[in-house]
Amino acid sequence: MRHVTLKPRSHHHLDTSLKDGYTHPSTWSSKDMAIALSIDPSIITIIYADFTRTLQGHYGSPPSSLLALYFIDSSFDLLLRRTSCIDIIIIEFDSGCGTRGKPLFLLHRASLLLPTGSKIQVSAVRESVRQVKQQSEEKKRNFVETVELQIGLKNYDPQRDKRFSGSVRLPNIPRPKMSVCILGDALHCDQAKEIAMEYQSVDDLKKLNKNKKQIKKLAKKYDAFLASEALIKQIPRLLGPGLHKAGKFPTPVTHADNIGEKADEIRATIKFQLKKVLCLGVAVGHVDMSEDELLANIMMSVNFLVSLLKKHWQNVKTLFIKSSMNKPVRLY
Amino acid sequence: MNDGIPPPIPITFEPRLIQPPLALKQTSAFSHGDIYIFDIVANSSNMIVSASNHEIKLYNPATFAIKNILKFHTDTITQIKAHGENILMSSSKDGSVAVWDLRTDAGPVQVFKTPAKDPLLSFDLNSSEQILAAGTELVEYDANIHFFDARSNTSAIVKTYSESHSDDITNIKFHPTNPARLMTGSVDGLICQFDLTDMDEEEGLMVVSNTGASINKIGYFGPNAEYIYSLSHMETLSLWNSEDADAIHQFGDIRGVSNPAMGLTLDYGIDCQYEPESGRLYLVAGSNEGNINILHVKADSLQLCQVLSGGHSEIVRSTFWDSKRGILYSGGEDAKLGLWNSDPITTASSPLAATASARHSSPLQLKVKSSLFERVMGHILCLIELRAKYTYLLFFFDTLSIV
Repeated sequence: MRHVTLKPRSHHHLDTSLKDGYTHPSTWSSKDMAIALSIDPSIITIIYADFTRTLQGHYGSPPSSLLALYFIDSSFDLLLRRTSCIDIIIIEFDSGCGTRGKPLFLLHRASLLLPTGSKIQVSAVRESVRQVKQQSEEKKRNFVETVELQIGLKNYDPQRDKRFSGSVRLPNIPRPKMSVCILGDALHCDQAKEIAMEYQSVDDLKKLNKNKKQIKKLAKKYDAFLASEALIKQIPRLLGPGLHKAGKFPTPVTHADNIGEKADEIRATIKFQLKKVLCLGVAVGHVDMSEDELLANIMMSVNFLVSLLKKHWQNVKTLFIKSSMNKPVRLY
Repeated sequence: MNDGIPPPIPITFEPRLIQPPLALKQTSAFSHGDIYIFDIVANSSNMIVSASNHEIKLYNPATFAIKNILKFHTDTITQIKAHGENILMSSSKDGSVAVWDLRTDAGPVQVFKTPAKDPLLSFDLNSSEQILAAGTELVEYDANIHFFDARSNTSAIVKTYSESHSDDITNIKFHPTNPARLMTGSVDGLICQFDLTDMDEEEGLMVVSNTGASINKIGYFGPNAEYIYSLSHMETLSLWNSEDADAIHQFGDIRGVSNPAMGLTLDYGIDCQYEPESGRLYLVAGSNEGNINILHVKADSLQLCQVLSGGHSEIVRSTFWDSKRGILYSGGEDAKLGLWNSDPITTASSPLAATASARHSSPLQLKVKSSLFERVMGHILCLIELRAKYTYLLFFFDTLSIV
């Protein structure tokens, strides 16, 4: 009877000792494997108990080892697509190969099995983040430096490959100072007053009288706009295409939405686009954020961007992070 | 906690919507060398294909015999559109829209040019065939919509709208029946709808939908074009009301429907297609390995109708599906053209396909006209891949005794 145990990993639930000592499996030596093998089995949990039944059901007689593992791989597909990062897959045999209940060996080429297995390890990124923050500490500026992620691509032809463009919401707000103004109906204007958010009512907009200069001034004054659902329909009549050119057409909000949260959503969303050159820069944070916060933002950005590339990690040539005024630090 | 894997979207299997099912009839190479096929359009006399080498090729739609090669554009061809049986229009980043008469061998019968050679990404002709509109890339600070008089002999621009978009204009779609109604979509995420009666950009801007994502494809659908679909470059799908620009449903990242148990891998959207006879909207989407998935889009859910596999080995960039006649053409980054139809032929599947279908119960009848050599090589390559993947595992088995 063969079964599989998995160790799901998330930033919050990972055993700290393992997290700190984590290195990429492909660099493990046999000594590392011995250490890994002594992981306390009690922290390993079995998830997807159904899987074990499936494994038994498909094969009547005990299959050869290779075939069994191939089967595991393809059945994992659905499994892996639904769970967060899995780093270690431990296969346990309890018939004739070792002491029952103890993991015997590690199948740690997880990147082979994972559809989007991350090629950068958390500890390396953490180290780079530390360096970037240190650099910024050494030369203090009189503004809060932005931390930017720079991605160099390869095996990508901007003339003929599909366009690479979109936006992703980061877990921590990279630009907290981003000013958001709501073009609100009565309810939303009241709500805006309560949380000290800038707002413009329908009457305020009517007063602009479709004056292009005034509308341009409004567009320049704020970084982004929200607008009540009912009001959005009136915007072409009230303002014409005045906000379009600045790329600041409002995001709709309903009465059910929390406008403060919606504004934060906008502040947390970064846009990326690849044009003619094979490199891309996105602001993923600022130097006053904690290491963990920068780490989470960077991992999220990288994994999202890589998932959109045709060849995923094969399309990534280099990864750097840097603070505005300092030298880039390499991640990959 | 996002690691690039999109949240799952529930999907059901509904093969009855495409009956009889489509099957691969034939494949053909566009050319030798590293060419991508960008676009395919077809009518009863021609299959027309644009490719990354700036050429447009005409084929016999049934035999794939090549009929003609149209050379004119000097930069990426961004869109082709057939008009009736004999006219083809093509736009390019070289700043021109060329009009071809497919019956003649000579070059384009007319060329609409932008004076500044603004790279054109999209175009359309209105229902009265009087106005040609073309959308440009962002050049410096301007992304323009240029209007031409389609009936005139001169190719002078009649009007330019330059205020409505702040980034590349990837879609220009006229209303199917109202000659004065235009819809534009851009990388800035906006779908703008215009009333062209007075040809005034400000006064004519009717409604705007902010999709919040870089727009790949948009289109009208519904019996009276009362709805709009929008596919983004991040593979999100959303549906909108065309009258008031309200969102009907946001499906989110459609890669989330991938479901190995159904044999469904969805990595990118190709386009949506409305079938007026049945009133259904279909989504055609592909996998990185060359599968074409046809899904039925309902108001708030998706149904898988069919997976077309075995025709391509790389990203499929374009499909042309005549659902009335049960014919689908496909082309992609492997430079292959595929012809799929619903001719009943007896099934002949390779042993490898049988293994796959045993696990995933694929509904497709795979009929590939490949040589014995190709099939044998296919098997060998699969085994090599398997072996390479598990060389590492074998290492473990060897060291097992040490541990």
